[in-house]
Amino acid sequence: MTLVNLARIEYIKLFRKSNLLFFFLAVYLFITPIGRGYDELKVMENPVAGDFFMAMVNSFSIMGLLLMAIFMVNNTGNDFNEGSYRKGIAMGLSIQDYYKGKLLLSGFLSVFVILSVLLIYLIFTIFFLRADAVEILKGINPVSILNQFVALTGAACFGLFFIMFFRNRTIGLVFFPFWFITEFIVYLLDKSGRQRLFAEFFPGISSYELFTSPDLELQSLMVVIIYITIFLTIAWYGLILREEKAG
Amino acid sequence: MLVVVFLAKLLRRKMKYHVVHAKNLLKRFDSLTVLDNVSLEIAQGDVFCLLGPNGSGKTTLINCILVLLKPDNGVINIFGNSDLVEAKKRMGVVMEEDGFYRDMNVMKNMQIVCLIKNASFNEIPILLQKLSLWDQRNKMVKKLSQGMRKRLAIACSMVGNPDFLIWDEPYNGLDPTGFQFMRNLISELREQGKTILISTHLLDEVKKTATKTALMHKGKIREVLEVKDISEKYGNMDKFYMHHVPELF
Repeated sequence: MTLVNLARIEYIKLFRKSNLLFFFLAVYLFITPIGRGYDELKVMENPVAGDFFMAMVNSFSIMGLLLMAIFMVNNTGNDFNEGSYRKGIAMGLSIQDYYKGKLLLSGFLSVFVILSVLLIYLIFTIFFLRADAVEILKGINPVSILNQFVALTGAACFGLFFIMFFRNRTIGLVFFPFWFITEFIVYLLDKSGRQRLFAEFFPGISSYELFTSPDLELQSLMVVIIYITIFLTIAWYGLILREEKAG
Repeated sequence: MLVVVFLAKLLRRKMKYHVVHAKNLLKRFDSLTVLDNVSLEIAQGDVFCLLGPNGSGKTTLINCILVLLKPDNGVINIFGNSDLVEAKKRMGVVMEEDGFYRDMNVMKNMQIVCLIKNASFNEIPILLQKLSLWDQRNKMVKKLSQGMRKRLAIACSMVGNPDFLIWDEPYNGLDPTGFQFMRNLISELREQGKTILISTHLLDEVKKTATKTALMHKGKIREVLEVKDISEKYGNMDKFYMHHVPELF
């Protein structure tokens, strides 16, 4: 099957009713950075556009990653729950094509999130800061955009791994908030300096650190790439090694 | 002209080949043997009905043909091809569970099937009208009745004009008009030279629509017969069934 057809299938499925909740959450997430930026703007003496790009990214980070993981769980989990994955395979969709479609979706959503962050930054700097075009462009950090893309893809792959391996959407939707909360407790304990817990090697924290880093952080980048490789490998074997019995 | 048509029909009948050729299929779920050395041949143009009580292995056999299950032993060839994934491009399927995207409308479900089958969206109105579903095209699938969902599943199976149709329990949820419609549809598809494999319990429908039937029980194919030969050998369809599945009566 062509990549165009795979992309069209995922696109049609994207706007189904059960995904609407995620779009509302995303809109909420897009609006909060503007509010936070506006608060900061009021107390700054000489604000410049560059000060706000990373602020927008930071305020989006944790919930953005969580939303990405649970969106993939919900989207792919629906295919398993309704039997549409099984039916697709019976009708001639190959497992490789299905998997490729999900990777395309992860990539598309990562780009969508990054474009949304950029859009919010533009709205904020144009309408609230009233900065000029050169200043706005200077404020955009391309390294951060690359970091965000890898981190978001990492979160999406975490979701894919969970749902393709365990095939349980409900547990997946509950698991990720709990897992991320646990990781951040470990992160806080680690940051407090009392106990070394290597939180930066956890999947969620490594993605978070990469997402919020303005510079090229080789360690976080490598950790996230290793996690992506592991998650995608397990997800793939979760698809090909399992027999598709009736649900 | 008539002679040419007659010769073409004759040639088509002479050139019948096996669409499905399955040999010695064995499938176990843990210690339970669900398919026990099943061999099956379905010729091109046949309306082949798999009969049998619940749990006899009909759906498992179909799932093996559809590569949803891997047989523990045996081989399956479809259109002479052992690459069943490739062969599925020429097949249409109705599964026991419909597998629709329930919170999407009829049109979008059909569009996804067209994209999987690499077929044009232009087929959708034709098929929906044929299955009397055109007025329901913007309805969510979860709001359709069971019978309508079955019709939609049949419409989906016909996307891309496949040569071989596998319908698992296609009569579930149909009303009397639905049954009549199915009979007409099967006869129309047969005229077009399509091969159909139907799994069902409904003896009456087998009698009215099938050309050949196989009776499965406890994972084995007990007998394969031309439907026209059943009355000669057993008297009627019920007796044929009772002969092989006596414990259920």
